[in-house]
Amino acid sequence: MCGTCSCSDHSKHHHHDHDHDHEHHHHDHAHEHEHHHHHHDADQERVAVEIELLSKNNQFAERNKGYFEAKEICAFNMMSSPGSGKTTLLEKTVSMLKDKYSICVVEGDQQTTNDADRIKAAGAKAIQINTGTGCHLEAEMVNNAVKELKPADKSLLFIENVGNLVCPAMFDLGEQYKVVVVSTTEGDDKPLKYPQMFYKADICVINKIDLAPYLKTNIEVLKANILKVNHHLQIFEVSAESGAGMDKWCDFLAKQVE
Amino acid sequence: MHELSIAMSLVDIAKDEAKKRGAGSITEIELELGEFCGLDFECFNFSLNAVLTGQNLAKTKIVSNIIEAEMKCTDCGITFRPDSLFADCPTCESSNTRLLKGEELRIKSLVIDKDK
Repeated sequence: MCGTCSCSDHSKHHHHDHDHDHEHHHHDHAHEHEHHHHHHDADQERVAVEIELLSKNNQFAERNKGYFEAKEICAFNMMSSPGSGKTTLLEKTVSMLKDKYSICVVEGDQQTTNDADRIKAAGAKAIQINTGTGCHLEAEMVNNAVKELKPADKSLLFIENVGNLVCPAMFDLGEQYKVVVVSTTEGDDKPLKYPQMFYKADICVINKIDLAPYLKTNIEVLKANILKVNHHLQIFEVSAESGAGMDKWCDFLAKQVE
Repeated sequence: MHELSIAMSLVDIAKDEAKKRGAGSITEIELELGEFCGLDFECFNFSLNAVLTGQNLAKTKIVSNIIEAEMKCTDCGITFRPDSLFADCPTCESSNTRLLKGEELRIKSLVIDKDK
């Protein structure tokens, strides 16, 4: 993960004066209300814009969403830190559901086609997106990938985001569910350290539960921390490796396309 | 580095909007950024400087209005300013809270130069 975006201590970043006259008016308690709105130069005009900075991504996300809805495709945006077991979870999911449902996977990684190869070997249609130095998938990339994949009607589509617990949270891809995967090997305070991801997610899969007895991680504490950040999160506890808890996860997925 | 990709889209949007209005140059870009918008502000400013310079907009002034976060407790109903996304209600200590403000990420206005 890139070091530049893993810090967001808001208390530190309020008053900056940089080149280009970047002025940050943090509206803290006692503050002045000078917004520099007064330009008296006759040639200059202030125009209201009110446009979201993510509007271009969001437009593509809406297009993806419309396409998924029309074809009754249930799309999942799978996000986690690197090494939490997203690909293993998907391999296992594919092998358990491929006989009953059509499954497609979009794999996002900075380099290599390793993950798409693993998914294809497990029996699903897969396409690899290499983001180069990019640390997240954007909706336009998914739009292009889906055009190539051509998922069947009433199918499951998994979009495996780049392994990164920070950046992907901000970019809607048009998915029906944002899924955050957290493994027991990451410790039980991950949700508190990276709250944005857990805050945005709809579903949380706790992976590698078979390893918990060998670790200091307490699954109950982990669950409490997950719910502290987002009390709406639906939690599944699995071990993709041993298969524990996978039935419940797969039953849930099956219900989405039935 | 999502800060860089957001800085790039910011400058693209500002240039498009200025062009639509027949402007020759952009004097100022006014932003509204929620304190929990998911950007590292220092990294964002660094990225924005680089993008502005690369797009011949080095003189464009950036005014960022940071929007304070506001949360509502869904149990007791009070609103308060949270110190994190997982803040508990200061009154009833419930963690059933909802963010009302603080995720803003938008261009509010531009000051454009009409005559160039």
